[in-house]
Amino acid sequence: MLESDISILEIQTKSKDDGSRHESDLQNMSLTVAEHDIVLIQSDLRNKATWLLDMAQGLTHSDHGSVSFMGVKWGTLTSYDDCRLRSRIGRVYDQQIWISNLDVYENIALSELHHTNRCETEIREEIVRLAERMSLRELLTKRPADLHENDLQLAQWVRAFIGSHKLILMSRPEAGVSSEDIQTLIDIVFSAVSEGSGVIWTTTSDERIWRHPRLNAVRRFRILNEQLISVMEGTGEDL
Amino acid sequence: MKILRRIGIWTIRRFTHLRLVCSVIAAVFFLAVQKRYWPRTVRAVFMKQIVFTGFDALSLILLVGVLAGISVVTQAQLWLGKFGQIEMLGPLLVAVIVREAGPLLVNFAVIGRSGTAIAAELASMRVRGEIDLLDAQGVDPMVYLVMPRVLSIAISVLSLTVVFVVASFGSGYLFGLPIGVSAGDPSVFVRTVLQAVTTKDIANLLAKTIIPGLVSGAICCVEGLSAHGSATEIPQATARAVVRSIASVLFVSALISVLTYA
Repeated sequence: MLESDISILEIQTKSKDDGSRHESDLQNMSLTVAEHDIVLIQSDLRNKATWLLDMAQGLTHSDHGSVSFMGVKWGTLTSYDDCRLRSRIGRVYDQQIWISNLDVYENIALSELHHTNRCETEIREEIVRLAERMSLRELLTKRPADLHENDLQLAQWVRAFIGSHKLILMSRPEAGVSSEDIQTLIDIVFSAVSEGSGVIWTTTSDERIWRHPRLNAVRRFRILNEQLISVMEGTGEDL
Repeated sequence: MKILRRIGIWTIRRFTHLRLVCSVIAAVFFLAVQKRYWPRTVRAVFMKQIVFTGFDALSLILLVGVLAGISVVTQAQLWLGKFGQIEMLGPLLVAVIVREAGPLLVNFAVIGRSGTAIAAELASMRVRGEIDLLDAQGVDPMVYLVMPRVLSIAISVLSLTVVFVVASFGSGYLFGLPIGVSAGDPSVFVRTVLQAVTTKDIANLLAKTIIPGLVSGAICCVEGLSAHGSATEIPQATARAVVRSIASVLFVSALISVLTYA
């Protein structure tokens, strides 16, 4: 892993004095993601992992914490600038969510076409190149409803990694795909990280990810009892 | 007391809804005048909506316009001719077709055809979590979904009303020829109608197409986006959008008539 001090994401939450508790909240948490950083988080509580990623994206807010992305606190900008900033984040969702009246290519290209002035041919070429790695090329012109769940999951990866995202958030991206495809995903993740992105990867107890040799050196955490607990690198043991 | 309470709650709800619709229209104007809110994706959605709401509705509006022309224009020529009041033909047709029937019928046709589609589409997007997906991608649903739809409805209603007026006058005149009620020279008919059109009529036509178009577009978007939970919300949101849009169009049209001609 390349070392970098440039922080992309900083999340801080405190414990609540009033004892109030939202079922998804994580308390006393401090998480920083820098450039070239991969953070692997294991959680069997999917709502907590989703809450964490939503918070990182500025989609949900905590009364007892703050989130800064690229040095800017979510909620302090105008709606327009908030949207521009959010466009720098790619995400793989836990569930398949697609704009149903657009085809898969249009879905994947939407954010880039909306936020950048890049030539459409260039965007198309990038999408096709990435889709070919996952044998998805012929499926790009189809509607999401016509695709098998596994293919949609692979298409989600393309959607998350297209463009120049500073941060990539992934909720169980390995769900429902083969070990061969996971290898491709890890290649893509490392390629994005080498270009300066930061990655948060949440997973359940999938040994294919948690014990993957290439992910041994990454920072690891577990969500246990509303806490984000650091896990010793390479061992899988709690600190 | 219970009745008073209910009336109070109903009134507050109506006003809250009215305020929301007005806010959406104001936001649409605020966004539409700024170039940065027109990226290529929004322009593409806007063009698609213009084609769907305006161009694809041409055949329907032409049909309604021709039928309205046959019934209204021909009747007007027939009866005014019988009473020896044929010089009143222009003012009468302008009052009936241009001021009232044209804008109203076109608004209703657009609500029935496109307003329902917009409300159902946005409601299903809401229910399926697609609005949240847009948000997460930094694509503001107000910019990407609402603004182009509201504007396209207003522009389409105006354009289609012009088509409707021309079609109804043309068909009325042509249908009157074989039954002997139309003047032989078409230029006389055209001149009679054009002479009756005043600046007020043009302002009235613009107001009665653009304003109700904006209002019904905003209502359909608001109702669609207010759906949440289950798929059963989709038809309910669509029905609410149609009922409220029709009521609003009637109210706004009546108000504009009073303000213009009273």
